[in-house]
Amino acid sequence: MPNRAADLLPGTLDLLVLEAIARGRKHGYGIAEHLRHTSDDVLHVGESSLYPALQRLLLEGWVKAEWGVSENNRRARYYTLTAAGRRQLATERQDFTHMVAAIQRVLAHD
Amino acid sequence: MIDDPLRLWRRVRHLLSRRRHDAELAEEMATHHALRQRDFERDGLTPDAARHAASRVLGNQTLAAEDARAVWWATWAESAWQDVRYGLRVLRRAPAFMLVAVFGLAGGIGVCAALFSGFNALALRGFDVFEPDRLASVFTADCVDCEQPNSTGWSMAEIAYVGARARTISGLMIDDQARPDESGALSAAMVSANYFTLLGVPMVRGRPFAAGEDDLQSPTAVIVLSDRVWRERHGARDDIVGQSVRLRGVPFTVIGVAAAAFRGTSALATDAWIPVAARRLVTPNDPWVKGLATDPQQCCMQVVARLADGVSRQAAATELTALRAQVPRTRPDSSRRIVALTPFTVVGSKGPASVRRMASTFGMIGAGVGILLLLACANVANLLLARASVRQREIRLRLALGASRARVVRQLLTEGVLLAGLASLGALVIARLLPPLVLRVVTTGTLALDFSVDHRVLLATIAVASFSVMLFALAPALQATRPLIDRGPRTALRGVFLSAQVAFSLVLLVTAGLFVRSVQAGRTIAPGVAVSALDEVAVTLPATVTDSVEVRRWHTRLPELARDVGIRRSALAGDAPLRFGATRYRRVGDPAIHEVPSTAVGVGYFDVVGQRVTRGRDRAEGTGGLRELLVNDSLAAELGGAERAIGQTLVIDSVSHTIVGVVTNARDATLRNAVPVLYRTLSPLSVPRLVIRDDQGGATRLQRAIRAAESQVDVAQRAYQWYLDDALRESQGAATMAGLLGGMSLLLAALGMFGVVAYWVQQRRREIGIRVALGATRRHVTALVLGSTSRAVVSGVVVGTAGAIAAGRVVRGALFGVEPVTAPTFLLAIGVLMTAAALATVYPCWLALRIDPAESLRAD
Repeated sequence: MPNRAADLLPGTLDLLVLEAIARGRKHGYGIAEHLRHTSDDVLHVGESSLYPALQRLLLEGWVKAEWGVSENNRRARYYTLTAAGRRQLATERQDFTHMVAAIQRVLAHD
Repeated sequence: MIDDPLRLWRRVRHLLSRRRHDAELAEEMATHHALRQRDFERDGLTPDAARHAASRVLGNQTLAAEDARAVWWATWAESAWQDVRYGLRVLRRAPAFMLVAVFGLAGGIGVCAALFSGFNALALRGFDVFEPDRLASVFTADCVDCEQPNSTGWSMAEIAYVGARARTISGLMIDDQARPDESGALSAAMVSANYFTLLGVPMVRGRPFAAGEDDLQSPTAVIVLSDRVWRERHGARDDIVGQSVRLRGVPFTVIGVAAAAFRGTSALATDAWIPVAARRLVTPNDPWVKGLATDPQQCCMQVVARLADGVSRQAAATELTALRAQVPRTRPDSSRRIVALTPFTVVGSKGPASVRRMASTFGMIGAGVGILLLLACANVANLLLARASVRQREIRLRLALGASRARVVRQLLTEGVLLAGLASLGALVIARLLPPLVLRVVTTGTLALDFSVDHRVLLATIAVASFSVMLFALAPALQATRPLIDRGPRTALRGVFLSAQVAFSLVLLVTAGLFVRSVQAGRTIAPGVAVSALDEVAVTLPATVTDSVEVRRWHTRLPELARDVGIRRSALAGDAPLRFGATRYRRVGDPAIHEVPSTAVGVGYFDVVGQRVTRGRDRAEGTGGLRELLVNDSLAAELGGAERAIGQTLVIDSVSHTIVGVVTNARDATLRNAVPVLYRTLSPLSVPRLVIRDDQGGATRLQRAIRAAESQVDVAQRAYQWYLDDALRESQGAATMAGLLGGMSLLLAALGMFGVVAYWVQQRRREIGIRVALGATRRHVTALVLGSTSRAVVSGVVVGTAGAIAAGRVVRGALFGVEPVTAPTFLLAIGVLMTAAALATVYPCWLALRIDPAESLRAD
């Protein structure tokens, strides 16, 4: 059963989206596909969680959007990180690593 | 939550280009969908299957878009805006309904707001000074928040001791208000030297008082004028500083003019301010004023404190109580007395008891005003109910299309909020204009109160308006969205309600009519003297004059000056026009003592004012006339008729006086039935006034001549008419109030009638349709519609007439020359009421006449 965005830890989707576009601009579908591929088909992010997340990031000023042309020659909106977004990504990454390490320590404790 | 400015800016930008953003989001998601579909096709699905698969995987797109949009502005805010726009459209489509409802509500909310505005101006709002909230009136009291605080001001010793030591306050000042002088002479408040600096009132000319200028041992004659007096009496002359003005004949040097916005620290505007010490110059013989300099513990001065920054009144009161107990005194003082601080407002500066009294008075009026608000809300609710049955189709349709009941109720409530919002604008206008109007009718003098709309009045209006929405909009909204509309509130109850309103309006209208007629009658009643041609000039001698020679001199000086300026007819008098004193007399051989209104007049007085001596003669000139009396017709009648009155001896103050003549009646200030009046001879020891009969502006010329020739006295002049108007003022105020309330309740009753009839017509569309189909003519239909309320109106008129007769009895004492039950007043009021009722029925009647039987029968 593929994972759903709703099952992710709260706030993780924002981190994943930021991470997905950190290496270059992507449109929404690109972000979803990137997450699916890199997670070995585990993370399936649907429109219903991806687009609200993207709007949230726009509102926070962490990403910016510009129109471009997609592979199939349609107009698509491409997202890139802003300077604030890059900083946010670094913090969230660190927080997440801490959190995962902590969870693992709890699980390893017999 | 407070948004960071950048984010807020992004939000606002998003809202401003919402349409574009929505389109972009839709396009973006369509691209997403298309790319997904393309990938499915690559994986080997047919285009059709790929499209379905993509839709399945990606889920509900509309919901996703909605969620994405909600990130920017919560969805509810958006739909609330939708409701408002929809509501505005609905209201615009029914302008007549909207206007009627808004006017009704504006009246109801307006009187509440106006009452609060009055309370605000009197009890809550400070004066126009720097940081008024930090000022407090200081009292010594037995207790605070109790029945009898027995509050008093402070002695000079207390002010000096506490003022020098208190840490919680940044200063104490004295603010003793002067009573405005009716004669029009300058009235000055008595204040400490730090008054203007502590209040933070700037001067437009000159300077405020200096520290040494309130030394009780060496008073200085300096005065600060108000901007108003500077403009009105001194033509705003630039060189006012250094000029001399007279206060009770004592010259004072003007040192400054206070800023225009500052009108003093009492309800009525203050003309000028002098240091406390200077009172010794104005009224040197007043024992209390003498005591100021000799006895520091003499009670009492009105004291005001400015609290130190951030200190509460409570904290300051605690410190002041402790300090006051340490004041060294030679007289015992109840140790349990505490210091009470009240807000420095018109009411607060009168003491803790006054604050309590004011609150309860306003609470009582508030109950009355609340009834008007309830009436207005009930009537608008009726109106909305009638509307709801017209809009039944629209409401059913929205419910059928899947709107939840709550959503439709919210829509209807939003319309209510819009109505209340529009009404609130009207209410604010009423709140701004009504209180000064009412006060101006009942008081003389320039008001210093500020009635402009401040945040408190605004908040109170919003609160009342919100409350009224709950009253008038909620029930109709719930009723209209009920699964099956039933009959609605009992029709019988509405009938009773309606007739009660009709009765109430009738009582108020008749009462207003009585007062209006009374004022008219008061104006036209022959006052017995030639009012329009008469003026009066009065002088006030300097306080220092104690010598009778100077007073005597004015008995010849006044007529002399009058002759000099060309006034031909004038006479001396002892009292202001229409205002009589009282004299006790005894008849010879009869121990009973009688008291009778009396006034002292000079020789030739009757001729000048236009009263005729009908029997006997006017009194003789010179000292011989001093023991001669005249009586008016009414008093002569009491003494056994004109013939027998003449020659009678009356003993006044153990001195025998003889009645030498009878004059025609003249009315007194009450303007009621001709009162008996005794005319005595003006004593040469009392300061005379001069009555002038001259239509060439003689009074003004005389005033100018006196100012020029006798600059040591104050001189004032007034037309006789002023005294007559003054006597009518109360009646006029009552007429205005009753008229306002009557007009308002009439409007509300008409509104209620309109609602009831319109509702009735809607409910009976089918019945009327059948009647028309069976051959009912337009006249039948009209009669049917009118018949629907006729019973309520007729019973209302009957009850109202009885009520008005009773009300007339109650107010009889305040009426001049008008019988409380007069056919014309009643008929007029009933006519006005019937006309309003008819007007209110015209539109529903027209609706009923337009009912097409075929359509109304098909509709169900």
